[in-house]
Amino acid sequence: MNSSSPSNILLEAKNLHLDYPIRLYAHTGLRDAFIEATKHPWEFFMRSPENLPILKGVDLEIHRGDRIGLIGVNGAGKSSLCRILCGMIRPNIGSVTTHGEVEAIFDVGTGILPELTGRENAYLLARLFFKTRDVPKDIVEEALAFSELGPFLDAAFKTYSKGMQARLVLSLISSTPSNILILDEVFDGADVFFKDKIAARMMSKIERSDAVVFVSHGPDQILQLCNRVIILSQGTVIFDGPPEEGVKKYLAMPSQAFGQR
Amino acid sequence: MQLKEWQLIWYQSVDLTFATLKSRYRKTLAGFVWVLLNPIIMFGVQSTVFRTFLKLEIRDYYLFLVSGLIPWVFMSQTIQMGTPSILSSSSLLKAFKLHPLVLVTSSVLDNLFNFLFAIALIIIPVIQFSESGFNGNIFLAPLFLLPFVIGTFAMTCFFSLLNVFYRDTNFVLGFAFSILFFLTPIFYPASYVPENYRWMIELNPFYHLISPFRACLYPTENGNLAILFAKGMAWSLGLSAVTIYYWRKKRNELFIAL
Repeated sequence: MNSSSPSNILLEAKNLHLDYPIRLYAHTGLRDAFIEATKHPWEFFMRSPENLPILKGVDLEIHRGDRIGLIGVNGAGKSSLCRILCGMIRPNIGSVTTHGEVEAIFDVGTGILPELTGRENAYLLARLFFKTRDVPKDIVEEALAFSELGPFLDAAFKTYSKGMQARLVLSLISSTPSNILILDEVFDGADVFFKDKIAARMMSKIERSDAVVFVSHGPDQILQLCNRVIILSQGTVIFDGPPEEGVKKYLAMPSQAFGQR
Repeated sequence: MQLKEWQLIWYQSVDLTFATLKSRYRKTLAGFVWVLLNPIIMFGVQSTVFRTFLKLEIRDYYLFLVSGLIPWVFMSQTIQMGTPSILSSSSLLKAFKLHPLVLVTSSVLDNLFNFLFAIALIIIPVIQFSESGFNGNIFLAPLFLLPFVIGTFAMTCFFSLLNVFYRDTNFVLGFAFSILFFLTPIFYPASYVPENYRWMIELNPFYHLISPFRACLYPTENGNLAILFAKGMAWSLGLSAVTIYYWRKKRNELFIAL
């Protein structure tokens, strides 16, 4: 399944570099900026911001059939990498070439217009998330039925609990398979009873999708779902191989790796 | 960006706008009336104060005022309502791939609808009852709105992004608009401004974006329509260029600042 012939490459990322200016964390309002500009005019206008490197040369190929578990300590660059792969942000250096649509979900507790009902939000979300105007009605209706929200579907989305919001969003996004699917720690929201049910549905979506990148901290989930593991540490790939070996290596990593750059 | 991506942004913006309009006007027509209340009250108060109290000697003052005031109200409302649009949807933008421009565009379109209603329900009746009445130039109005719409959109994009990094942007904008209202020839004609203050008018983008539209409705001393239009377009494209530069520079930082 894991063939490396060129026709099976769904996504190719080359030499990805990403950094953010540290200055960002300094002030949050025009008022603060004004105070700083009058207090230290030279530094304010002349100083160029220091850059904090997030990714330092990541190469990645995703093949048809890949179930990639992306692991790494907090701050290793996992989410930034996923955001680059799906096109939300652009790398400072490097490029991403895709053959197929990339669908990525980073948070499931989000409605688009909280004043509208759950049902209306689902239809709108379907159009925005699947990037098409003609999402078949029965797909959305099936997802709504699966969410088991019943009469709550016609209540305003803003009245939903976190768990109910997650049910609605997860039911909807797991309704159709995708070319390349990126899931960034998305199972946390739904309650325990629903978790098994949605997990089964998500699993079925994962099986039907061409390739999946799965960000998680749970080794069990990784071993259960993935056929390839990538460990990201301090902005570089330090391991790319079979899941068992990868998880073992990850668990043996020194904990102080966080924050050292 | 490719044409396909722009198309997607446009479709998504339109869908979001209709959903927003639906949520606003869901219960009654009252929400719709509410939107028009602001310009109507502004117009009523200002026409009384400037014409009756201050006795400004301007021919056909109601038409003169309405043709500048309604665009001004729309422009300042659009910018101030659109400025928080990215920040207030930060969880949505971080949840999945949605171009931030969709939120800004949708907010501008929403206000553009209100503006078109205001033209139909306020401006047209005023023209009807004015001394000068309808003139042929009114058919140019849709075209002459172009610099106005482009300029407003560009500024809304600019400030919505600035607001992500400087969260009191809208507060400062509110202050700026209250000052600019007096510095922009809205309730007085540009010809009232003495020669040595003219530069303030010439450097005021709001004046240049509004005056082509106004000149179509109100036959003015402003001169050549083509020159007004050209100046308006130049300003709107200039503002767009600044905005595009700023977006390109900041698009990545957006996601960590949100």
